[in-house]
This record gives sequence, C-alpha cells and structure tokens, in this order.
Amino acid sequence: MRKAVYLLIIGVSIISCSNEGDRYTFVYENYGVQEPEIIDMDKDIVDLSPNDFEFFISQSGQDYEIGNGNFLEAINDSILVVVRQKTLLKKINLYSGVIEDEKRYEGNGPGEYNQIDNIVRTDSSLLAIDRQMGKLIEYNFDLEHKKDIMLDNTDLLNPFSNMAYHASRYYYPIRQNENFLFSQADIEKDSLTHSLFHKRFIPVGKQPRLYNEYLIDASKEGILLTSVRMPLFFMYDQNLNLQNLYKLGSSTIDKVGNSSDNRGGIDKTSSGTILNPPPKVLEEENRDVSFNGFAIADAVYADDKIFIYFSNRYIEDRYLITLKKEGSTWVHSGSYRFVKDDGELFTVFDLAYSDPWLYLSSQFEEGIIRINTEEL
Amino acid sequence: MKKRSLFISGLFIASIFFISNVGASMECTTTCQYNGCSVSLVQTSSSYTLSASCDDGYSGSDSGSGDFTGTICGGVEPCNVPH
Repeated sequence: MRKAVYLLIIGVSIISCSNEGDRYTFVYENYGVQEPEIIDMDKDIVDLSPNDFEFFISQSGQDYEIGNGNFLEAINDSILVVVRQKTLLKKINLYSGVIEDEKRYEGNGPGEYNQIDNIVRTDSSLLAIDRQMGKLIEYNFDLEHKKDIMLDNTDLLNPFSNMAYHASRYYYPIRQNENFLFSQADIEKDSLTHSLFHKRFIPVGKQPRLYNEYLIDASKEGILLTSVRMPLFFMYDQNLNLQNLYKLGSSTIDKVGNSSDNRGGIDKTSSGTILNPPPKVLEEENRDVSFNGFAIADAVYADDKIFIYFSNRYIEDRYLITLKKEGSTWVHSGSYRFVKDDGELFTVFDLAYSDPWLYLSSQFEEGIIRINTEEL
Repeated sequence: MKKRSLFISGLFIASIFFISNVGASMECTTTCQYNGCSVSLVQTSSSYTLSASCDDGYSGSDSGSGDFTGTICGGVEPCNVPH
C-alpha cells in the first residue's frame, strides 16, 4: 500500500514537472494545435574559426566600412548594408571591396525616407520601409528609385519585427488589428489588397506584448514565422494556411532568469515591473513587462533549409541553428558559433542568404562573414 | 574614479549619438549608444518600446503602456509626443 502511495506521488510529480516544463501550452491552444512537432537539438555546438569561413573587411587605409551596418542583403556578388543611423544605402562588391553604389535619400519626397526601418530584396529590386511615413520605397539594384507604395497600418514598432517578399507578395507586421499580426499584399497590382494572417497571441493593449514579436521570411515553399521570444516557429503555405508548428527541443534554449543589471543605462521611475513573464495574457494595466534572456536575432527560410541565429545570455551562448527538410518535416542539422581571430565570438544580428552562401553581420562588427552552407 | 570616468565617457558618447525626432504619425524615436549597446526608445501616444542590442550579442527589449518615464543611456531624456 505504501509503495502504491509513493508511486502515485512520483507519478503526480512527473506530470506536474512536465506541465511546468512546457510553458507554451497556452500558445499551442491559441493556434488550435494540440502538440507542436519537436525538433530534437541533439547535435553539439561546433566552433568555426576564420579558417572555416570567409571574412570580408575593409583593408587598412580604406575610408569605408564593409560591416557596421543593418539589414544585410545579398545581391549577386555584392552586399547591401544600411549604415550611418540607417540613412545610407551602401552596395559593396565582395570580391574587389569596391563600393559599387552609395546613396542617401533623406527627405519627405518620392523615393525619400526619414530612416530606413527595414529592407528586403525581390528578384530585381530592393524594398525599403520607412515606418513613420508608412511607405515602401522600391529601388533597383543600382539604388535608383522606381516607385513608392503607401501601406496602411504598418508596424515595425518592435525592433525585432521584419518583413519578407516572395513572388510579388510582400509580408509585413501590423499593429492594431484585433485578430491578426501579419498582412500580405501583392505590390504588383495597382490597388493593394491585403490578406491578414497569423492569429494575434497577446490582445491589443494587453501584456506581455513582446510575445507578439516574430521574424518572417518567405520562399517558394511557403512562409516561415519565427517567434523572437519563444523557441517556436510556424510554417504557412502560400494560401496563408497554418501547416505546422515546431518547437526547438533543447533543455537550455529558453532558460531564463531575473537580472538586475542594466545594459542600456536605463533608469525607469515606474514600478511594478515583471521580468520574464509567463507566455499568457497578463491583465494588469500600467505595468512594465521585461523579457531578458532569450531572443532570436534573425531567421532565413531557404526552401529546404532554415537558418536561425539564437542568443541566450543566461546560458552565455549564441549560435547559428541550421535545420534541413527531411520528407515532410524539419530536423536539426547542426549548431555553429563563429569565433574571431582574437577568440571572441562574432556578433550577429543580421543574416542574408544567396544559394549556397549564408552571410552574417551586425552593426558591431567591421566585417561580414560568408560561409558555404553546403559545407556545414 | 575609474567608474566615474566610465560614466562620464558614457554620457559623452550618449550625447554625441543622441538623436530624436517627432513624426507626423505621432511617434518619436530616441537612439543612443551606451557601454557597447545600441539603445532605442520608440514612444507613441499610447505606448513605448525600448530595445537594446549590444556588441556581446545581448539583445533585450521592454514595452509598456503610456509614456516611458525615466532616462536611457545613463541620463538621456527621451523625446515625448503630444497627447
């Protein structure tokens, strides 16, 4: 009898632990998914040294920077970065190091912006967005203005949201819709028609709104939505129907904790701050909600491959996660850190892909890394 | 003494990079650099979003309802939007 009681207690404990272990059940229910597909992150993290990748940097004496930018895009043999407080477009040939184009279009007229909040490439052009003006600006690869497209309801307010483009369809986050977080528009048509998708998780005006942060990318296979603050990603087909919900299965990936350090020199006089909130709606008004610890910096969807750059300060780690498609599902194919000559890790906030090359950069690095993904 | 020097240097750097603007859409952005981090605060008429990304790979963000009350980058006063 006593043995049965012990077994019962152990059984209840295991069930309780497993419930606590998956804090995202509330999310699955929101999307009508019983259980996500778990991607087993079973491979060790591999350290890559400069011998394993190419590193492009301005030569000594040259008065321009190759790195130190935002919103990396690969254009054939060139790289586009946005520098100088997100106002200067710079196109650099990676083989010669020559600046092929450098344009600044600040202003309020056609083709002009106050600040570039994000940029994405199409098959033949570049699309830059100015969030405040609610304007999408199209330039050709020579950085010449083609046209402006006015968008309703643009929202790149949260710093980690981005936008995507594939086959004349432009995908971008929206702010105030009560039901959905993303919109799709066909920019080749004269009158824009918008299709909304991806159900809102945290309602408008409620906390923690950071769980509404997603990175989006599109390919001929469909649409990838990667949560910035949860180890989850969603796959949609071209008709905007949710196909699958995946969870990156790792014991440490979403490990979080409270912190009293202050990285931004931030002094807030408000009170009632909640750190590391649970992924469910908090009804309290006028409370600050902080999420420190886990974040996805960027994600790329390249048909049969997915690249996700992950960082978690509580396990002092950051690395590139590569996934490959096997049959109808995705599997973990490797995790990689990029170590510089001085032994420090290369800081990554932007990824770009041009088959088979993956490019990595950030505003904090003077150069750009390129690696052949077929060798990973 | 060293900490004080660092703080003053931080304030100096922050003041150099301090930028703010108010747009027609009733929002303004304050950006500054502090201790290897790029910090930005976007204030709208109803909410704010604060973000930091740093040269050691750290990225964090906050958001909340109403106005951000306080300073960033060790003493920079963020811009405001009219209500």
